[in-house]
Amino acid sequence: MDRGHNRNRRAIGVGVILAVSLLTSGCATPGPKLSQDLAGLRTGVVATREQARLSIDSANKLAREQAIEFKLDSPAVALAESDFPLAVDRADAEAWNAAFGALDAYAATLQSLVDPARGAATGDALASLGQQLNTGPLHAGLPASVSGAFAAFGGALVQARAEKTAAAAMVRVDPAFQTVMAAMADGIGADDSKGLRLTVRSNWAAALARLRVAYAEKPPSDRAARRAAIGQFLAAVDARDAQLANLAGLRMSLLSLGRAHAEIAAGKPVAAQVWIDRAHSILDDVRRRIGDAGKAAP
Amino acid sequence: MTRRNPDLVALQHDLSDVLDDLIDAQERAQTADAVRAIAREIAEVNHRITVAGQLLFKRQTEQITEAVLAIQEERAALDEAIADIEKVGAFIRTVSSFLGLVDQALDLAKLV
Repeated sequence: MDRGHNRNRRAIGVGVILAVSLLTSGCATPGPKLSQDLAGLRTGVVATREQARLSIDSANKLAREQAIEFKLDSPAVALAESDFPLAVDRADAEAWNAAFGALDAYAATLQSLVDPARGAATGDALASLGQQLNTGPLHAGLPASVSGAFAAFGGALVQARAEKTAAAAMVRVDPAFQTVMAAMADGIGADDSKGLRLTVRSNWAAALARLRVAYAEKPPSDRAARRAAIGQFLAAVDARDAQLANLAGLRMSLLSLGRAHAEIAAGKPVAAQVWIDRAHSILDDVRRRIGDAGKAAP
Repeated sequence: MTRRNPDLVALQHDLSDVLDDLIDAQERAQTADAVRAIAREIAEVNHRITVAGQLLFKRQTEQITEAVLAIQEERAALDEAIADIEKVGAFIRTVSSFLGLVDQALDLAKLV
């Protein structure tokens, strides 16, 4: 009877060890990696949000300046708020900011779900339970190795379940994520004749048109005045090109974020990182151009 | 894929073409008066492009907000998954604590 009981206990122990080894070896590695990928995606969201904020702010500043000039040229005596349209309405700018916030919160929740500490905490609780079972009056007599493996198995199982849930969620969310990114990219404009890019180009066209007037009004004999007018004109051309390049970069960052999400969902973290790095690099370019424009300003 | 108002898109496209023609005309103008007159027209067109652009951007933002709602709904499901995992840990800790009490009771029973 006793011999049979011991045989059964040994068989259970070996079975548990085998099951634990198989399960833990199959699902222990991706957790920290997926968490890292999601952390990368979040930094991409933050970088793109900053690009959007800088681009919308500068587009609105330009539109406001040109609306004031337009009003000053008008003989009308009435003053209305609608005389000064912004490139992007404040409510829409806030909605964009909120959209980025929601994307970041979504990635943060996914990251929290696959946090390896969550699986480890479950493993610790199981280890504590195993210890209690072995040392108390109700001792189960499980070998220490089995008890430890049981705890590791529990932690890995929780981790695997979280990863499966996270991966499935990313696949489900991907179409909505792509819709957000495509709609934002579309709002910016595929080229300088569409979307916000057209609005910015058009406002710069109005500014440049005034500078052409300033030049035309200088007599040919006044070379110094004409030189100064040309300088102002070319500085404005450079500023326009920089601002349009920033918007083109923002559009690329938005599309890159979409690609990064799709690659992570497809289990291709290396490809995802390439897209995230691109968003960071574009933000660096945007900041450099804004810095250069600040230095060039009179 | 997008729900941009097609009339506004067409209008913006037309305005963009007019703007390009005006820029071209100003660059080729022969008198200061012509340069001034075309600048005024460019300012008029620009005002309309800005207004139309703002409206289009608003439509696009509505679509973005709608798609974000779907993501937020998924986030709620993820929060539930996190809560479930935490429940497992809490359950194990409760069992441990309960067994600790049982062990204490058994130890006491042995002493009696």
